[in-house]
Amino acid sequence: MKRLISLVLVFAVSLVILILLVVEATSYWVDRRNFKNSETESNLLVMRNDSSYDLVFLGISHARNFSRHRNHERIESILNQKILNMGQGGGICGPNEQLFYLQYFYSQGNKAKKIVYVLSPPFMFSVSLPIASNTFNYEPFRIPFVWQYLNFPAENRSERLMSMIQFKLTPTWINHIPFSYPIGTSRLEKLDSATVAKGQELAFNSGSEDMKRFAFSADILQQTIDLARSHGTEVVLFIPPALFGKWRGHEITKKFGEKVALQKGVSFYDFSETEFDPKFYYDHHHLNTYGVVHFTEKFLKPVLQ
Amino acid sequence: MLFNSVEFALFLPVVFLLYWFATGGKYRIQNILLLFSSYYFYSCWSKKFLLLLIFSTLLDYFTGLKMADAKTGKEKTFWFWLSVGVNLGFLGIFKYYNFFITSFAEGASQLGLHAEISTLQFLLPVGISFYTFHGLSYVIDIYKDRIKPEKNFIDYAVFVCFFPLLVAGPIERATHLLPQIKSPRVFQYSKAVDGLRQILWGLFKKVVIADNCAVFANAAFNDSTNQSGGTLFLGALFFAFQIYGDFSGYSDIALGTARLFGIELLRNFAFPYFSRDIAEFWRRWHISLSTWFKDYLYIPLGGSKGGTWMRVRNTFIIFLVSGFWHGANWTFIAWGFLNALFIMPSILFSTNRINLNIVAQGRHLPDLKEFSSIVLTFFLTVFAWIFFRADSMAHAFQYIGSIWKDAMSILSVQTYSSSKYLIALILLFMGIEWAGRENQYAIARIGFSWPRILRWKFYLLIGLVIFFYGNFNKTEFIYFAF
Repeated sequence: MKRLISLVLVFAVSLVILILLVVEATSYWVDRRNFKNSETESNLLVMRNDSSYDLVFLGISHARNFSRHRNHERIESILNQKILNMGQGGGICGPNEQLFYLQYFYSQGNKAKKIVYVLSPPFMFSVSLPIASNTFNYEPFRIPFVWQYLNFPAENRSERLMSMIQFKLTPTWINHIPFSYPIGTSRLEKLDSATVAKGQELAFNSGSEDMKRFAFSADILQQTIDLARSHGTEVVLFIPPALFGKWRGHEITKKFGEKVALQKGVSFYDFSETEFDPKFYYDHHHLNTYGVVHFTEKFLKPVLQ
Repeated sequence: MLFNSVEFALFLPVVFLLYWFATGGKYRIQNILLLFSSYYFYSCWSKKFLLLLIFSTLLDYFTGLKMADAKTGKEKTFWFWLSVGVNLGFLGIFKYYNFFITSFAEGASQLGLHAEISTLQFLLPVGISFYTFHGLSYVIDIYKDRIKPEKNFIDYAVFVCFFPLLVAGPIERATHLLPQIKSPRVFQYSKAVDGLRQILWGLFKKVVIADNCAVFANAAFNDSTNQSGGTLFLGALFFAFQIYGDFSGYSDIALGTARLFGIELLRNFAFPYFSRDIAEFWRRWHISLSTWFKDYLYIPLGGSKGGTWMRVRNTFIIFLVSGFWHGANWTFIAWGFLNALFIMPSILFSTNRINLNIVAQGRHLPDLKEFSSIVLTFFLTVFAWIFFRADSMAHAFQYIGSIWKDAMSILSVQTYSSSKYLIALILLFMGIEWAGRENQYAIARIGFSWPRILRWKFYLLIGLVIFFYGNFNKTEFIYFAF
């Protein structure tokens, strides 16, 4: 019996060591490519230790868009600030994992003067974003990150970590190279109401505003603000522009933003109806490079300075 | 609790250690532990249906005793039919009621009549088809005076619901399993290691082959109207490997787990995709069910003794019933019917027992005739699997029609690029299966002549492949629905 137990233990330990070696090796292989924030969707590949940033972006694709296609360098130049964008697009990240990214950011000795939290209404209501298992697929394997996440209250935690680790031996990860698109130039011709209606249905899963989920997201957001403030970071919340103006759930999100601004002493802005020119969008709610530059100069810069 | 879940990975070692260390080697205490562990295992799915399982166990236990005590043949027959009736009644209500009622309503509407129907809205109890057949074989064997009834309830209950076989078989016989339950088990290192090896291979089949094939098969079957013929063809192939990996992987884990407790279960699969004809396929696929139907249906119907017509009739009956056992849908009956058709030439020409040996035994490769027979048999089974997987008969015909319509169409670039790694894994898997086809399971003896370090590397490599390429999204085992 002892022999069997020893055999199982040796096998299990050997397997764990091999797995760790593989994920460490492939993580190093990708990490050494020195990504910039505008060249990857990963946060850990660009996050350094003990660094100071003027501005940190949080949110979903509407936040990440400020860095894609070399937009990152453009807005750093417009705002004259050092920026880290931790927003996660692609439908893979909910408010809770954004909170975790921020927690990890501080735990690595990093500092931020301001956080811009892009408050997209679907982000507050979505039931699928918080349970996406592929949230960390594009993050390199780092033991402190995994350890902290193991101790972080989250939905689908084990599936998410499993997916992250499994992804480290896929050709997609191993061949991950810096994106080379210099500019996001595609432009929308005109607003298509049918597409917008269908898109809103998709974004809200069931098609109705899930208030239970909203309350949960709101609570997480307040925890995020508290965490930022405890590290001396100012917080700016804003609802991003959309070609169709208001998202479903806009009023509820706006009321929450106004309330939290009063309660926590943070800034809140509603930019949802500030850009109605299709040429600034590549779809109905994502700004293209022209839109990002225009929006940053016209709206973001004044509120940040 | 699925076999490929973290919960089972914790449950199994705890029960294993208690079984061998906390019971003092007393098999009666071990049986009590196995019974409560099995009930806990089942209750992880449903506490409500656990009561149904306990009721079914009690019913067969008591009717078994009553049959043995019966003073007249009439009394014995009464208890026998009571057990059979209640068992099949539960199966009928939970599994087939909605099918019959909707089929009746559809039939009536075809005749221009309108039937008010109400379907039942409850889930199918996990494993009901399996434990019902356990119980049935037990009471039939007592009725036919093949066995004596079991007097110890704990022993009988362990026979019915021993957790490795509880939810998806193999379908055990009292004559095989009960004597093992009623005698002391001695821990044997070599058997336990063999069990672990079989679990490892079963996990590979389940989470690497079956669950990854399921992703592509589901994509093809769920959106079959918008896929090219080539993609649908590939989808059918993936389903063939999905169902084989799923079910035989599950059986491997069940057999390996039971072996850790010193218990040998019936073999359920014997490399069916290397069969040279359909008759051989059915001697190698879901063996415990095939032999169950042979012993309790085919032979009582007269088997092959009564001339050609009786053989044909009985063959169709067992395949149609077998199809219906798999699911309450016309597609399963069609699947059974197709298999009966495929096997018919060998029944008519009495060639159904020509391939009893292992293909290409003692050789590395099959000869051309063997190879072409294997390929033909495989594609016949794939064709039948389309009916098995389709949602309805119309869906099956649409799927097959779309394959034929543009069978020569190339696969879409996206389909090919995302499935090429899986195809490579399937080829590797079938290569290992071929190499190990003379053993009970593929890796049972592979590497025994290698240096130990090399064999360890082989097992670790399987472990790594399971970890990195396994699909752990907790998809349910296909056969759980039956």
